[in-house]
Order: sequence, then C-alpha cells, then structure tokens
Amino acid sequence: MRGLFLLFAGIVAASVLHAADVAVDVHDPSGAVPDAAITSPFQFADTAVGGSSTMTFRLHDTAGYPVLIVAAVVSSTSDNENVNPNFSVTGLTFDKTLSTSSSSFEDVVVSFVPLSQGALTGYLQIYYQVLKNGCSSTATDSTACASQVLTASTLQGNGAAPSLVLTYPGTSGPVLLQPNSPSPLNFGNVSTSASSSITFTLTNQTAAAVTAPVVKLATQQFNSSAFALNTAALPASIPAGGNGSFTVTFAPGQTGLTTGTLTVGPLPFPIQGTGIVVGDIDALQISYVDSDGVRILPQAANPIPFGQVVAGTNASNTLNFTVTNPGASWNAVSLQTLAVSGTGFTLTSAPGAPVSIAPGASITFSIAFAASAKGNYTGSLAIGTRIFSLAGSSISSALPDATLSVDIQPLTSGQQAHLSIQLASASTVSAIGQLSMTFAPSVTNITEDPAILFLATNGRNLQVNVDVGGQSAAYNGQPAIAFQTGTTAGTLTFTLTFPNKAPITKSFTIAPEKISISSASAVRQSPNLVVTVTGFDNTYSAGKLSFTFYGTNGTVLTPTAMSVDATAAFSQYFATSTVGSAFSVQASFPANGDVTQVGSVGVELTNSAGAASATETFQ
Amino acid sequence: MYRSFLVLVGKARRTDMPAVAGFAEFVWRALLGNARNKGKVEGLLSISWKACGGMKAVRSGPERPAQPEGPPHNNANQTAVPRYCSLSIWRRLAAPFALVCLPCLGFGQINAPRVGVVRYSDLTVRPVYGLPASFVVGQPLSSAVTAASFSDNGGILVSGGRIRVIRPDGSTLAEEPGSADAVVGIEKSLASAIAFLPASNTLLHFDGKEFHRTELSSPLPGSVLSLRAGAETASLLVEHDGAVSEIIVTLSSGNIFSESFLSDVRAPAAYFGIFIAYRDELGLELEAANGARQSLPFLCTGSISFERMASNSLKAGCPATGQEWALQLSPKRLYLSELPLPLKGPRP
Repeated sequence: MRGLFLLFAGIVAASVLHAADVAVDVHDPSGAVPDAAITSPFQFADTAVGGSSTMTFRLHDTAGYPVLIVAAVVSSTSDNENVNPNFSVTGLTFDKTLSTSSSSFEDVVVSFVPLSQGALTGYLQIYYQVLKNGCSSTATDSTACASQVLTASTLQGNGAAPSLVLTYPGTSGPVLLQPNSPSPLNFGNVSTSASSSITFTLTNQTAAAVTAPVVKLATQQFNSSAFALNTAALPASIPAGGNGSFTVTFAPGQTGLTTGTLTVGPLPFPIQGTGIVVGDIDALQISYVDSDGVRILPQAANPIPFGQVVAGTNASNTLNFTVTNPGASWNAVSLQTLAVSGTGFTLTSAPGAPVSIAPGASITFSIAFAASAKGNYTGSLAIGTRIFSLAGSSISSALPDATLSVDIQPLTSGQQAHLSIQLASASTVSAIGQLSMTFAPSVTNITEDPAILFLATNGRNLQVNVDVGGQSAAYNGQPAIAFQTGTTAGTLTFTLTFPNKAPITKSFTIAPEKISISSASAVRQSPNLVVTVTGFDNTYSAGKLSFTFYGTNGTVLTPTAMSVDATAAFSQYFATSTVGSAFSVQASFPANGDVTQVGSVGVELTNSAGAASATETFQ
Repeated sequence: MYRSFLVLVGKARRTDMPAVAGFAEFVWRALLGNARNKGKVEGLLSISWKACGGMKAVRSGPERPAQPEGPPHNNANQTAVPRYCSLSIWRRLAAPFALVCLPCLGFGQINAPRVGVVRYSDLTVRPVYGLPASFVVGQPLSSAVTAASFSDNGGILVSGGRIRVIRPDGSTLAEEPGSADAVVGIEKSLASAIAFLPASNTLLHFDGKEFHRTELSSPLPGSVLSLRAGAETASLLVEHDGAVSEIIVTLSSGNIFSESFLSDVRAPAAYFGIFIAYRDELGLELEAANGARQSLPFLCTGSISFERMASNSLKAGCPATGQEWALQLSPKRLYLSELPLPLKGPRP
C-alpha cells in the first residue's frame, strides 16, 4: 500500500476535490443497518491500544463515467499522503473500476488500531481516475486520465488503555515498550561470536483472561536474520493480572547494524542490534552459496537451511562456504576448529584445522546434508568460536512405496518371467520411473549374458509410469513386464528408481543347474549315426558326453556307453558365444553294417552340477 | 516310428515354459491320422530334426529333395565330418552292425542355435538365436520387407514390390518382379519357395534356380492367407466371407485341383508343417489334417498375424501391442515364447 501510495505522491497537489465523482457510504456487512453517507468527522468506537475496531465503507461511482479506484488510504493529515499508523485500509480490489450502475460498488475496510492512548485522527482519502473523453488510465502522456483524490471524511477515535502491556527488564526494573517507537529497542553491540537475548513480558491489565497475541519478527534481510524469536514460554491465554513471556535473541553472524520489527498482535516494536568485532575471528566474513546460486550471509541467530531431501535417497543438498579474512584486517586469523556436528551433516573439502587465514585470504569448504530417515535434522558449524546452527529435513515422497515381484519363483535359466511393480497404496501423483536390470554371473570368466533382457526393449532398461490413482507401475500400459533369465547362473538384480524416491532393488539368484536339453534328435545318415542335442549349460562347464546305442529290439549295442570329453570344445565355443550358454552340439558316429538296426540312443551330458540325459529314437 | 513317439509321451520336463506337456502324444495322434500319407509324416520328422537350427541337413521333406542348408551363423566352416578310427578297431567290431568309433566331436560341431528369422513391425528381417524363452536378436538381414517366410534353408520375402529368395545369411539367391501385396511361403528347401500375386492371380514358384510364373485358370474365391508348394501342386489357405478353405492348385497348369472347406479353421491362418495354425476363443490352435488339435493360451486384443520364421517355428504377432511370439515345434514339446523386440524404447 505504501508503494502504491507513493506512486501517486504527486497527485495530491494537482488534484481537485470532486465530491460528485465518488460517493462513500457507511456499510453494514450484516445488512442490519442501511447504508448511509459517511459523515465527517466519523467517529470510531473507543479502542484499547493493541486492539482494533473496523468499519466498512462502500464506494459508488457518481461521476457519470467509469471511475477507476486507485487507492484508499487513511493519512495523517488532510493534505499529505503519509499513512496514519493508527488506521489501516484493506479490501480494495486492485485497479477496481466502478461503473455508473447502482449495483457497482467497492467495499473497503478501515481498521482503527490505536498505537497509543488518547484522541487519534486520520483522513480517509480515495484516489481515483474518471475514465472519460477517451482518456487512458495507463497512459503517461497527455491522454492519461486525470488522477484525483477525494478526502471522504475525517476519522476519529480514542485509544484506550491497553489490555496487555509489553515490558522488558531494565537496569532499574521493567521498562514499558511503546509500539511504533521512533527509537528502536537496541540490543546493543554484540560480538559476531556472541549473542544477546531479551526476555519480554506481556502483562494482562484486565480482570479477564486475554488470548495471547501473535508475536512475530519481521526482518529486513532475506532468508537470514540476526534476530531469533522464541515464544515457547508464551501461553495461549494470559490470565487476568497474569503475564506471559517470550525471548528475542540477537546473534549476529555478520558485522554491522541489523534492524527488525517485533510485532505483538497489531503493534509493531522496532528493534535493532549491531554485530561488532571483538576478537580477530569476529572479523571473518562468512558466506555460502545456496542451491539457487545466491550468496547468503548467514547469521548465528538462525539455522543455515539445507532444505529438504527425500528420505532414503542418496541425494544430498550441499552448500559451499567461503570464509574470508578482510583485507582491512591487521592480523591473520588462526582457526583452531573447523568442524561440523549433527547427524546428516558432513563437512567436505575443508582444510585441516588449525588453519590460518591471512588478511585478504579465504578458505572454502562444503557441507552436505543427506538423511536416510524421515525427520528434521539439526547440526552445528564451528568456525573457531563462530558457531552457526544447521538445519535440514528429510521427507517422504508423495509416491507410495513400491515392491517388486516376479511371477515365477525361484527363477531359473531359460525362462521368460514377468516383473510386477506394486505400490503400497493408490498413488496421489503421477510419476515416471526407471527400471533397470543388472546381471552378475556366478560363472568364472563369464561376464555377460546377452539373452538376459526385457523383451519390450530388447535391453535392460525401460521407463515405467504410475498414474494418479494407480496401484502399480506399468510399461506402456502393461503391469507385467516380461524378461528373459538367459542361460547363465548368477544374480539378477532389478532396480526401480523414481525421482525423489529411494531406489528399490531386488535380486534373484539363478542357481547353477545340470545341462538343460531343449531338444535332441537322432538321425541315420548311413554310414553315420548323427545325434544332435540343443540346450544350455548355465555353468559353462560341459565336459563329458556319453552315448549309449540301443537296437531296435531295445538291446544295448556295443560298445556300450561311449564317452567323449568335450570340455575343450565347449570351452572354445563358450568363449566366443554371443548367445550365452545356449548350444547345439552334433555328434556323428561312423557305423559299419545296417544302421537301420539301431533303434535309439541315450545321451548323457555332464557339467559341474551333474548329468542330464535324454533318449532319442532314430529316424 | 510310432513306437518312438509313444516313448516320448509325457516326457516334457520343464513346466516353466508355455509348452504342452502332452505334445508328443498329440503329435503321435496326428501321425496316426496321417499314416496313410507318408509324405506328411516325414515332413513332420524333418521339422523335428531341424530343431537344432543351423545344423547339418538330415532329410528332405515329403515332396522335394532336401537342399543343403546354409552355414551355421557363427562358424561358416563347420561340418560334421567323421574322424574315422583305425582299421584294427574297425575289424574287431562285429557285423552286421557295429559302431566304428567314438563320436567325432570338435569345436566346429558346437554352434549357437538359430531359432529362425523374424520380420519385425519395423519391416526389418532379423535372425533370432538361442533357445525357447531365451532369444537373442541379431542384426538386420534386410529392411523394408513387407512379407516374408523362412525355413532353415533360407527364405522368400517381398521388398519394394519384388520377390526375393534369400539364403540363411541374407544374401539374395534369386529375385523377380512381384507386387507389394504378395503372399509368400516356404516349407523347408528353397525349392519350396512360392509367392501368390493377387493382382495378377499368379503363382510365382521357385524351383531352386529360377522362378516360374503360373497364372491360375480361374479367380480364387477369396484372399490368400497362406500357401505352400509341393512337388507338383500348391496349397493355398483362402478366406472368403470369414470361412477358410484349402485350395490345391496344379503348378504346371494353374488349374484348381480341389477345394476343401476347413470348418474349424478361422482367419487368419497359416500352414505350419503338417498343421494349420489359427486362433479361436481357446487361444492358438494347431490342427492336423485328421482334426487332431492342440490349443495354447494366447492373449492378444484384435487381429493377429502369422509368418514362418523357420522350418519348425512360426511367428505370431499381436499388432495391437507390438508383441511377437515364437511358436516352436520339437518332437517332444511345443514352445510358445515371446520374442524380444529389436529396438530399444517403447513398443509402437
């Protein structure tokens, strides 16, 4: 409002009062009392200091043209724009334009908030423009509509004795603190390594309990204040004749004057303090760069905020600090301590203490905040005797926790299975996650198996989606995500990652097993008998092959159980295989005589897990 | 022969695959029903032998002599050449039959199994290696392919309106002008490669060396779903008003030899060895000529598509989801496994 008012600071002198352009009525929002033209003076009810009385005024357009209401203020005098602190105006719509219609109006609420006892006077002023003759409300040249002001009424009220009085300890007893004093309460000169606190007392002077007012601190510095307020001791209700207290601490982290405003209910109490250099270390200029790249000068009164991280994630928030010994210093500053304490906070890239900082020199370090469990975290940064508190929080993701499951247990080689991602509850947010699969073979000298993949992408990564209200994540709308287990023993691990969510992993062991024979054939190709076996050996240790031939009458033919050591051949094959351990092996047996007498063959393949066999009839 | 299948009944070991445990019994019953047709029985066995994709050819189909298969994908020089034993050992073995020596086994006889060749929705044609449920997709052999059919010995495909017969390594053996809407089929040998050109009502038949065109003597009653070539005839599955018929055409003359209404078969349908594959409310169906049928659960919203990816493998595609499935026949089992998509990223 002040800024808006200053914008029209030049209006007053040039304005001409046109009472006919805007009419101001006293309006009863309850409708019990009909609207009536505001009188001048207008008397507010007697109001205790610290309390307030309000009235609603309704503005009408009486100009015969649209009227833009620019501002409504209560000034201290009738001929200037200074806002009267005993009154406040609220409710005006920005750039409200009234029409000539009787139904067009704008309500403003004027509050009488006496800051002191006795008769108090203000002037209700309406700043407006009449939009006529093609003038423009936004133009700045000769086409601009004329800015005008209406002093609608002289407002009067009496400030009564306050219900609550605010005092602080003085050297000779409690000192009454006056609101809006031109002389701020001074916390004095305080070393940047020290702090100064004042405990304020609110005393109820009435015979009834009074609700404790809202106590706040307003400071001029963004994101960092040398003042800290503690209202833990202030009760919600102050009994008749009783009191409540709160404390304000001035703990400068920087040298120089710091001002602020303590507000108790509607009453403002200016305060100030000055950070000074007592020891050499107090001269150090301490700053850090926040996540937005903004350099911040921390104050010791309030924690350095590290923001939020998501519980369980590996993410961390890091602030980069610089400590400079000003060039104007006489002495180098030796820091005996440079340390961070507190769970979740880690000091990194810091020079080892003790460290000396020469005049004009700097040191840098970083502090990272990461927390695996949800909650609020506090810590402390000690730069010699300069102490700063640290704060961070770890929150839960809005996305429910997810679990991974597969439809086949246990997983073995040579399978196609499906992975499902179930959420603990229906999601209130949509999310996109990354699902990945890694494989660690348990077979010596085997590093990969290209057959282990998601079928949908022919790879080991894919993107999953969670819809609002969904209880599972899906790939391309399919909640069951198909994958191959390949043909190698080892450990298959799925990792699901959502933004701001701890990764979820689940591993499955694919155990070594005997050679799996998926198909076999036995063919007479006179004079040869050809046996072909197709399968996989997830141990990559296939060695002994054994063949037993049977006559058409079922008798075992000689020589019986012929064995061959194929270890070298398999090893050579596996070393160059691009399909994991899948193989097709063909053995050819030269035969003498009528091969049609051979009816079938038993095949046994042995690896480190045992022997697998199959019997095939010759075709 | 039949005894061998009886032995196999109930021997399907792994139950973690979408396989049919009783498939051996199913095949056996199918064979009994086809006993009078020896050619078809041998055709089935040939498929089973070729389950080890890329291995040595062992027997021809029922109607044509076998063609040598292409070299295995990871060892072009491998052959199963016996390493004969010494004569003294030979002589000690008894007549009338004796095994001569231990098997000859070397690195060259161990290969990566080749499942077949798949035409993906991105119109690339890629080899697929591995085993059922454990596939690895290879690099494209060809692109812009609008139709294809493959056996273990090669394939026939349509690309840019031309019909090409390719070897297993993707190299072109023969090429002929065709049409983009051609329907192609191949059974086992490259000499069974055949195409139907709807616009000209013509069969384009490859004899192993060159193409032969045969215009049909009369229009077909509907659209061709699948076809295969025999020694002297071609069989076509034709859809008309939702019904599927099998039409036999004489290759030399183009005359329609017979037409049989297939009461159970629904479009789309495809020849698959001695079976016809199609989908009904039970899922994927494999139906033999004698009516023996095996069902496999198969979830796909909307239409499906079939394409032969190997002598013993059929690709079933679900355009709605972009998923592709491999239906693999072996003497003991029937496998249905999802194929990995060739490209990383979302399905189309």
